[in-house]
Amino acid sequence: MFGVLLENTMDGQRYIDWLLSGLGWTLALAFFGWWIAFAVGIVVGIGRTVRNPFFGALARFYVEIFRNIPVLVQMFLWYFVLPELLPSAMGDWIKQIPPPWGSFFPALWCLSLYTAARIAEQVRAGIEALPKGQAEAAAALGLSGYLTYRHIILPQALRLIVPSLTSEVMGIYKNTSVALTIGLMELTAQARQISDATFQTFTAFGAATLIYLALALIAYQTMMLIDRAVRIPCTAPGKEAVRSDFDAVELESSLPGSMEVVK
Amino acid sequence: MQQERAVSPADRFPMVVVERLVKRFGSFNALSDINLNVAKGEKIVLCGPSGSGKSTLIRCINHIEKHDSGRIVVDGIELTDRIGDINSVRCEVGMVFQSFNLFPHLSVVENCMLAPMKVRGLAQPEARDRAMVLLRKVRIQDQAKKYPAQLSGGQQQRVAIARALCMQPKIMLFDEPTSALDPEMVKEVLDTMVELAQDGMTMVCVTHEMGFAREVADRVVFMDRGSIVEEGDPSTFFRAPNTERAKAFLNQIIH
Repeated sequence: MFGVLLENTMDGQRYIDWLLSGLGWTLALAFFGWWIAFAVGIVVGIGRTVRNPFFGALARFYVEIFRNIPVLVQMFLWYFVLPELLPSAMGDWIKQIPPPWGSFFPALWCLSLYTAARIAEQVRAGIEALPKGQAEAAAALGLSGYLTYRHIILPQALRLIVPSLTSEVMGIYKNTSVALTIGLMELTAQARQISDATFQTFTAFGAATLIYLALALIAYQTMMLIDRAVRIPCTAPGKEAVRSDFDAVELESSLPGSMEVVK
Repeated sequence: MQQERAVSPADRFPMVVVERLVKRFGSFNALSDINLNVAKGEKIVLCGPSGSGKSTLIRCINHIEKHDSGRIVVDGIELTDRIGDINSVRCEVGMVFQSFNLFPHLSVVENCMLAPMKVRGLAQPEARDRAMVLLRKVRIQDQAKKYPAQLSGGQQQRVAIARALCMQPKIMLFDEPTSALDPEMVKEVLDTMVELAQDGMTMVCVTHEMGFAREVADRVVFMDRGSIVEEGDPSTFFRAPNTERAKAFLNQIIH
């Protein structure tokens, strides 16, 4: 059924090479987009919880803007509208960035900043779910606001939200397909191109579907492993919380480093 | 109703000075016009009915609650809005909470090492040595590598005491340290506090453990509805309180 993928294209490649090249762009977009989104999301999420009214308002504004505009519209805004809004010299420079980078970077900003807004809300929820006593105890020990977030609040809040961040990881790589609308030849765009060239619509999109599914499973498994690795001993739900299993073996190694587990 | 205070050591070496302290929550006066001096080495027990403002008072002393007016001076530093002053006061004031508030993601020894390393700038080996000395003092050194969730309430509270002591504070505040404990664990925590008192630590304790108050307190301060109603040495206070409100309160808690 997928035999057509091994046939030669007009430019001497095979169709599967198109697909793999698309997969590369999808992965690059999702990977770099994720780290930008994660970093921005943590900063904005913290901003949502600090008492300073200026930062609070700024973070709120960010979240409302980026979360409430459809991704497709944001994609167009970054690609078509931004160069027109900037001073003309800079706008022209952006328009002359050669493909595929001219599409890749707008898509990267779009997906990371959109996902960051969603992550920020989860970071905020994680922080607000912690008992107030944690911050009070940290303050009573003389820890500054920065140290409290760095060593007490964030390590606990981020552990709490690993399951919901899983959906964000899966979300950002699925949303990469929107980048085809601004001309990035990622996985979906390549599948469509193969379909157009071979008229094998079912095969082309079937292959893309299988790849997306495999990626989803990998992402899910990875996040499960991370969840398990950072879990606080003896606080795990269900079967993991076996007191007698808790032994010196694991503890010895974790002792000095574990303060730094979650950066 | 303010009692005439005898010449107490507080007047000579005040560790904590609280003057005309007012704290409001919205329109509710949590503390109105509180005056209290704590001398170096003095042990004070704060008691009173729930909602009388005793917890709020000690939470003001390390600025976990921000007071609305009045002065608080701790070891010569006045608590203002300046974050530097607040943090330097907090380094000298240890606090133990009703709900322990250990950091669940850090092991027992890491709980004790964090603040000395990050705030006092101790190197890791020094911080660990100090933590182990104090964990031994509260008799929990065997559990140093465990996580808080693996300890009983009494053990957790002793770790919390050790964690506060690792900062080498000059004053210790206790906010109902035994109220959340199962009855059979109260004694181990009180014993630890008694030892600390015998070492000469300045202590302000909110507690209803009258046996503890009799044994270690230099002064019992009775609060009701946001003000200090009566204060005196424990033997007099428990035997013959001056005010009706204190009498009524003591009748309630001594069954």
